[in-house]
Amino acid sequence: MFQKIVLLILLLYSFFPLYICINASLKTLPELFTDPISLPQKPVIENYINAFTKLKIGQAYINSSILAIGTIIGILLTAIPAAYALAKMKTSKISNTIITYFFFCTTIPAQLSIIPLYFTFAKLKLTNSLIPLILIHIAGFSPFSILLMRSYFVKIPDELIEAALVDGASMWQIFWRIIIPNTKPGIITTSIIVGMWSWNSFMLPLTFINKENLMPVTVALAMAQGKWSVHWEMMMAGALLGALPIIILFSFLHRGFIEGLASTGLKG
Amino acid sequence: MKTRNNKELIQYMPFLLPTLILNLLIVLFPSISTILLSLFEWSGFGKIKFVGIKNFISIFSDNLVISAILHNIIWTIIFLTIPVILGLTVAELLRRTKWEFLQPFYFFPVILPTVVVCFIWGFIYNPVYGLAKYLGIAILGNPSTALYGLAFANIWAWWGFLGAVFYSAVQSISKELYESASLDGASGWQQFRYITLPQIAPTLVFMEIMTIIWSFQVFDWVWLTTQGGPAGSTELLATLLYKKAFSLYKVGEAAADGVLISMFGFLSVGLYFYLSKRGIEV
Repeated sequence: MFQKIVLLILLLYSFFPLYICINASLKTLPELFTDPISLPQKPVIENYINAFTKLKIGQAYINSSILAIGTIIGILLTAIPAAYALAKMKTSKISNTIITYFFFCTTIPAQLSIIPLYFTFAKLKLTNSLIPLILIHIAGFSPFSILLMRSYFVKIPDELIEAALVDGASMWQIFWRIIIPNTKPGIITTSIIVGMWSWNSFMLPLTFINKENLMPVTVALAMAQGKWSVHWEMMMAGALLGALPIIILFSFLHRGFIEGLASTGLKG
Repeated sequence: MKTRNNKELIQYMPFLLPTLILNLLIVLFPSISTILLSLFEWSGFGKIKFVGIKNFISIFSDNLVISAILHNIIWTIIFLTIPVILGLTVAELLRRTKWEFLQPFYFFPVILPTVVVCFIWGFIYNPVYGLAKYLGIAILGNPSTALYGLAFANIWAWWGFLGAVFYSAVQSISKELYESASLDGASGWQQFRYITLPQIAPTLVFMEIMTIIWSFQVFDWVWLTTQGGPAGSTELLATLLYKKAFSLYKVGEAAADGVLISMFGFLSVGLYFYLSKRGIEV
């Protein structure tokens, strides 16, 4: 009994700030000022419309989507084949060295690479463009993706590959026709986690993008903060809109999110 | 044997090369460049001048850096304890009650963008509109509470992750261990202390090590709220680095700060390998 009460208190702790936020987003500013806690007398949706137009969330949605989808595609094309190679190579000395290196990469702070990266990209006129930013995200998230996907590829029996090799299939054919279809859950898990991290990414786009029409949602919201900071009702609506795609994805695929993240214990 | 190895390597090279090249260009080379850059004086444009360890001397005699290190250490201590205790509690209680359906709800704050969590807590802490008006204090506006206020907001969006990691580790413990323990009359606490804790010790140690590494990299939480203020009370190494590199034209010193942040990380990795070599026991 006591155990269940503790779990419910923790549930309340997880929910209460969200309640405050959703509640505030449905009130007018005067009503919010007099009472930030109780339910709105008459819920208003103007805050969401205002947030969408005044905070320019529409364009930011497009930019964030390009960033997230581009990163996912890049991970699928580069990190996942590498994870397969590292799972199936029999020369363990080389593959172990590379695996250790990628683990080591997950501990290298972005702060260590961001300075030369920014000045080099600025010199090459690669800032204020989404594709270079996507490349940075791919490189940043590939160590995690490789470590996670490798754990799925290791489980595929070697006999399956050997049988296909005997039948004369090439390495790439085996990879695309046998391996990929057999590891779909892992690929979906990796994609949604990488997609979430790209959508939520802040420091990298803050550094590499300073044109308003290219900003992803996170940076656009942060920039709007100074201008609209008194309009908490609109800011709360904007915050919820900024998280909405991730919230929708999570409500359908929470299993994948939790298992993928919990099994590695890494956060990008 | 050697030739077979080489043949295999050549076979798998197309699978490995794209990601390795990208990683070298975007992670490894720039990281090494930063280490070299920390030995130079540079404003971000124009002449670059070799100054040896001068940047390190100046950062270690800078009170801002010293207090930033202190703030990072406070942050680390908070995150090594409070969220870990919450995570362990939830993992153990979910095991006992079998209320697994609650897990996605605890995990939910983890997936939110930091900027969104900062908005929510910024509102809660706001002394005019938010809940803080009932407390009568501006939590983020007061130098003695700002850092703890930020840490508290971050804990909210973080502990569910640890809960999931620990719960996943708990699930792989053999049920028979608990069954025979309860037949022997072991109390709930004893089961936790003598079964759960030792069994998940490797995971626990790994997460504690990663916590140290991540605590020295914290940036978003401060940049999106207090930007280091009030009166430098929330300044961290990463925010100092960012200011020096991108608005104060002290790129060399910023690089030295980056090296410092990494040192804490590399020391933690070293500690991890030392601990796992000795075998981890609780």
